[in-house]
Amino acid sequence: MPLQTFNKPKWSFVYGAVFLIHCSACKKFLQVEPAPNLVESEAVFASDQTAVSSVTGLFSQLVSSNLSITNGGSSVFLGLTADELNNNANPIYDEFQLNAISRTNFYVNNLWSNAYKNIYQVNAILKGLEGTTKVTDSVKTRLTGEAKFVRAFYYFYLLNFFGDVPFVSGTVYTENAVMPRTSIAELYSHIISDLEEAKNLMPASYSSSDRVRPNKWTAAALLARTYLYINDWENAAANATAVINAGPYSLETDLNQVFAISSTETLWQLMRENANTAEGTTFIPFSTEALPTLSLQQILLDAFEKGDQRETHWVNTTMVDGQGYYYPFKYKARGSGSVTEYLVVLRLAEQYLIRSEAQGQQNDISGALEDLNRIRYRAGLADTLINTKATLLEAIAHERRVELFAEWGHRWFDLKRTGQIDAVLGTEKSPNWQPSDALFPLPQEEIERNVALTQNPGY
Amino acid sequence: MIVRGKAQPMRSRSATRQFLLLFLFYLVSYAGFSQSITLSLKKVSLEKAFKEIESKVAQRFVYTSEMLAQSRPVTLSVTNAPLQGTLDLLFESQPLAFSLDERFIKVRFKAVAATPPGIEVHGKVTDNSGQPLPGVSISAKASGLSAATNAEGVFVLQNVPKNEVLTLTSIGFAEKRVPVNNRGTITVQMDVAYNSLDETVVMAYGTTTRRLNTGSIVRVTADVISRQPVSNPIGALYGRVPGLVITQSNGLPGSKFNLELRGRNSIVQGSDPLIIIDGIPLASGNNPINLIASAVGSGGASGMSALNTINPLDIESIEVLKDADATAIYGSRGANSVILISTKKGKAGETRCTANFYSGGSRITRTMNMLNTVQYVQMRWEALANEGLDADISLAPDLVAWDTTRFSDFKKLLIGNTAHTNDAQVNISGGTATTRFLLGAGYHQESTVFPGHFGEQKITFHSNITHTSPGKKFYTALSLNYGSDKSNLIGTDLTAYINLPPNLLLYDSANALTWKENDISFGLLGLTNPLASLLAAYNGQFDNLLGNLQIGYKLLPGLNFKVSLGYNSITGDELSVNPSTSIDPARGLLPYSSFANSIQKSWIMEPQAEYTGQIGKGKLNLLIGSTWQEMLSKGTSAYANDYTSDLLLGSISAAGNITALNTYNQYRYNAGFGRLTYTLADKYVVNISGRRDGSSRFGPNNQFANFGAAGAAWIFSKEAFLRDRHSFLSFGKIRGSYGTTGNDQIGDYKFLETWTNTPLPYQGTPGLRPTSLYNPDYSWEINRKVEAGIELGFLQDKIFLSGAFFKNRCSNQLVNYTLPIQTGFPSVTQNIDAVLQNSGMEIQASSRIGLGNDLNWVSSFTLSLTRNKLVSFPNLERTTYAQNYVIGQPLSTRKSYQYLGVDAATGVYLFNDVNHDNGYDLEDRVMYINTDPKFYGGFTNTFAFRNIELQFLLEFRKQRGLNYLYTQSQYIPEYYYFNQPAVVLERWQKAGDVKPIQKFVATGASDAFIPASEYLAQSEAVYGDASFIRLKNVSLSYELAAGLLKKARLSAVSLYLNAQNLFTLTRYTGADPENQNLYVLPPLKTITAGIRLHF
Repeated sequence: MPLQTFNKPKWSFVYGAVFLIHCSACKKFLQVEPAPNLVESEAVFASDQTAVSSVTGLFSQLVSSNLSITNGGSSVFLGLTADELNNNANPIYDEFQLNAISRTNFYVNNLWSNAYKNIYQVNAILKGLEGTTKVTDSVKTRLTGEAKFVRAFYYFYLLNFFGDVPFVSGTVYTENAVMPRTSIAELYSHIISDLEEAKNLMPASYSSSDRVRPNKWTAAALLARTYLYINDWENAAANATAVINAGPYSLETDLNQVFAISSTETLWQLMRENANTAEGTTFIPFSTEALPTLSLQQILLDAFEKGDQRETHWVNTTMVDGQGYYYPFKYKARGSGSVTEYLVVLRLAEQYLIRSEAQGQQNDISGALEDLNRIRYRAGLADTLINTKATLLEAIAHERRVELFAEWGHRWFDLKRTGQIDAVLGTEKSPNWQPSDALFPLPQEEIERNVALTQNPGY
Repeated sequence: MIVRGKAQPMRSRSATRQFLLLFLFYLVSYAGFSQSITLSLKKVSLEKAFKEIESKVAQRFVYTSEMLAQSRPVTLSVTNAPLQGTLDLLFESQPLAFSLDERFIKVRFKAVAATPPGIEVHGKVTDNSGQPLPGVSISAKASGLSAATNAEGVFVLQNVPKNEVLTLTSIGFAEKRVPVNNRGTITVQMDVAYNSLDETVVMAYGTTTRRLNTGSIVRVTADVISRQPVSNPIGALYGRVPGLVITQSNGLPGSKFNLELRGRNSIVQGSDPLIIIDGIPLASGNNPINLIASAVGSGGASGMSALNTINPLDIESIEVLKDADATAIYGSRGANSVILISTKKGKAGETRCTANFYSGGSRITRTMNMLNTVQYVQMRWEALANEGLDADISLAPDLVAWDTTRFSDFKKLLIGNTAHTNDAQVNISGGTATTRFLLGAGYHQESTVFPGHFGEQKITFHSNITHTSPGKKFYTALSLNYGSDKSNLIGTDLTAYINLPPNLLLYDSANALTWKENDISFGLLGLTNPLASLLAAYNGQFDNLLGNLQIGYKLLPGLNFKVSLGYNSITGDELSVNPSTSIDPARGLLPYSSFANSIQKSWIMEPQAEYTGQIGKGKLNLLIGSTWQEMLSKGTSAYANDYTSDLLLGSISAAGNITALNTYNQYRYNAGFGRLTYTLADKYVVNISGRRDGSSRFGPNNQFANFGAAGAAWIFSKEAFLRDRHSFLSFGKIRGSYGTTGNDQIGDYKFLETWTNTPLPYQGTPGLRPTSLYNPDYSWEINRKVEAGIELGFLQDKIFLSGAFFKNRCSNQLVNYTLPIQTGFPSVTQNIDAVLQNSGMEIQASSRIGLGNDLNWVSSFTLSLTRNKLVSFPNLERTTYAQNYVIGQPLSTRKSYQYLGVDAATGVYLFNDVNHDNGYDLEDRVMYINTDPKFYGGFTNTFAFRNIELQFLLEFRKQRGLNYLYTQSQYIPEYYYFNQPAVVLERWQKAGDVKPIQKFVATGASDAFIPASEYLAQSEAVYGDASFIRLKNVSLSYELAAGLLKKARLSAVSLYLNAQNLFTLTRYTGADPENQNLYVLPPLKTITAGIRLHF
């Protein structure tokens, strides 16, 4: 501190000043205290507690940006681009419903940037954990598994939204800034390798009571879905089976409990400290007379079989100006304040449907029917008695549509992966539908900032 | 802290000696004191003998040419003689004597006994109004006598030859020569100087005059500032400082002014000048000081300005320092030029009191007319018809469910009121020749053009005390400025709501504010009830304390030691409340509040030593010093929500949920600096300055850097060959400078790889997230400035003309290098090897012309032409800036689509598809549009007739800017529920129409949608001519006749009318050509009337 010089005899002050003029070498004076709200990177990975905080922070970030991929964005935007949701209000949602998304669309920009910001955090955590000896091995193993799982989860969604996307796995910005797009096949192999590793690293138990952090079975569940998407029926079925037989999971019999915090069906959910789910807040109108922002399309409502309890419990209605509007009612709570629901990311019902489809594809019709009918039974529907592979697959697709509606973009992804998207939406959304609409545009800003990136066709 | 650090004035001899030794160590590289001399001279001139001796000893001769003229040739031979003895011999046969000290050999005439005795002269000096003038220097050439007037303007000279001529000089007054003519008492009236060449100009660490200044410094004085009804001193600089572009961010009281001096020097970093008030760098600089967003905005280019807490009427002068010569001594902080604000000081003489009151009103200047309800509804239907749609409840609830006959003129309702201004000031000043003081207080109150009682109130105190010991050895000055600004506003600028649909329902049947009509919620349509914003109050209290203590001691004649200590603290206490009545129930939110407290503290200590003396035939001024500075800024803000009652919104503990955030920044700066000025015969001036800087903003390996500059001036009008032949040219100077400065406006701690806590906890515990990408190796931006200038005065300096040409090149650009977000962050702080150049020309002309019959005309004209150019950018095409910048073009250049107008056949905006690939892509952006002003300036005229004075300033700017079409990419005409400026009536309706606006859009399915939402804003169409000429300031004042005043015991009274922004001539299609945004409150036009009383 320079102040001490004041207390010394006055001449030292003058000498000091002149000395300074001469050399200006008072490096010590230029050392400043870091801000109390900043922690240097080395310090973060110097103890178990702070290392855990870096991953806790990652989960907090997953649900910090409204309508990002992991916070409502997948359900809302893919519900609009597919044939699930109708936009009643915000004009900018129209671009999604009309499959005429502009390259500068704010929401698309947010989907992309939020994902890559969090992927950077994953990569920084992995780098930090790798370079430290001060974190206990068991903690390091679990955190590494969690981080890799989150990275795989993001790339799964990015590739299904945008197609080829750059696979960034390091933290050196000079390399990352010029990285071109990575092919879908290569992305899938990275996702599978991250998930297989995460499955081995994470314990079978949850580290929390509310299933708000992933475990081994969470990784297996996403693996099952990933294998299904690349038509690897055997591995899809095997991983789904592992999850179904893991022990802690069972289908809720009460449909109103499926999305409750304590649901036994939940594999992984994301919590928010001060607000209910983005889905609940977006879908449920603020008052009983209000027009819902988004409502369910008639074509989806028509898809429910008579007596399907899911239509009763998971769809709600409101009357505005004499007209009825239907909206998704899987989540029952909206808005901020007291939090009664968490966002369910992965649940058991999907695993049954994955195994059913994988078995069906491998011509195990009876095995497939067993899983399918388990879901139908829970919905209050009679068993289906189909016996050909083609009709079975059609029935599974139908069941996925009504079980997983308005949830994480399942309908959109299913139409894409089964190659039916042009046939289905080309009819329903004529004349707006173009085959190139199956992929979202990359944000224009990104194309401008990274010359190695190319835009998707049609944009 | 600073109080403890008051350096004791050094009085003891040992102190003097010690400092001298130190000083000599630095300043004088003379070779010791070897005092034995060997010489052999034969019939040489005395001057030659002096030179010989000087070459052998440390001392220097001090003499005049008259002495040499009367000297005799010298013959002298000594061997190993002491200096004293040698000099004794040398002067023996001369009519001269000498005195010897450690530094000088002062030569004087030997006393001549035969001179007839002189007389004693008593004199009194006053100004034109009879007020005594203290501090006037009196010199008598023939006898070499001199004196100065005391506080009563009185001087006494002994032994004056009867035919002596006295020369009286005083800064600000014309030199006066008075023959004594054997008079014992003399009364002299001095006239205010015609030209301002000898006016004091404040520069870095000192003062100079316009005559001898080598650098580029523009001075704006109290007289100019006091004529303008502004509450922020920057507002008084419009059109008066060549090279300075000012843009008011918002028309609300307290909002900041954005400044750009001689163009942008940095691609991304701050281009704000360094602001120094009475020697203290303003802690906040030109950055906004509010943490909570209010109607004036927050962060970056908008928000509350700390300068608003400075009372413009307390300011003596504002100096703007521009070239390297003037700014290099500020080193790493001088790249963007320096603004020095000096507050008023007391004047010796009778204690005087000045009171000043004014009051007035303001209204918006220029905005656009919006559609009325009939037009709006018609447009909406037309948009639907364009797409073959019929209005239904989901497509057009505003047409189906809402009353379409109601009309609110939101422009008038929200921003159409008159804002009131009241201002009162009192100043007391006085003192003696040794101690002078000034005390002042001011009150300023200003309301807004919004409905309701909003605005700001500020109280300012200003005090200044200076004391010089009777022997003039010791000097101290204390100045304290305190400003307290209370901003009582709302959270939102209501101008943003002038495009609400004109049929929007405001009150329900119970006369309460409503958010819906027929169950169609406003929020659902992206609308709101603008009157609810009036309930969301914002209260900010900002206090600014500036204290400066200077202590100086004259160790030897010509050698001063000085230490300047400064302290500045700016505190903010803010609260913004959102009661339930202000919240759309559809948002499902309980009432919420935001709280913030902030403090920015800075202290600075600058010990300096200055030497002024005669070296050879010229005057040398040498300054060395060092700077120690620390700045600490801390802020705490909390967002408190889920209140159960509106009554408790001011209590943070009553909130159901609190999210808090704190900010902390520490900055330390340490430097040594020096300057050498040598003035020869008042004709040649050389100025060399340098600084070694260290800053905590850079990583340990890059903390230090050196900066320096050299400047020179030649006052050629003093040369004999011009002085006699060209009497119309009264002054002529050529000056030039070259040097380097730096820019460290990059924020603190950027060289660390850090994590911070997440805004929200997870599982009940806070998490961490990375704050930025890591780059420890960045360093300073270097700005090389070169300048050449010419200054000419004609006809006794009644006409004055000056021109400056400059070229600044800023390299090693330190940028928030924009990155694709796939790297995790949108940017990283990094140096790039790009060179940015600002070059230009500045012209200033002024004249003072008597038009006869007591009518005087004074005019002044400034014109600036600046061109910004990206000179080089290695590998630009492979960087993230490839689409933003073009080498050889200004930074503001945007690559744009060429606009072809509205397709007459389809009614859709057309752009040139250059590469004919049936789509608009990056390659089609072939138009380079830049928005830098081409030229700008001001023209001031003052007409004085007896006791009436009229002054007006026309400010002009030639530029391109964003026109109203720019906002139409966000608010596409008739696409959903926003009203439009009436100009959209000129739209395409049917095939064959040739119109400037494309057809209306009802849904995203329209073929006109993407052209409007995406291509239009990136085309040349959104840029238009934004040039303007604005009557920036008019001031009319009337001085009451003296006869009336005597009775009222007043010494002077003036009545005045001041006005700001009275009218604007422009072809701009948009709201205001200065702020260029229809949805931000434009600068206001203000008219005030006032009275100024002197007791």
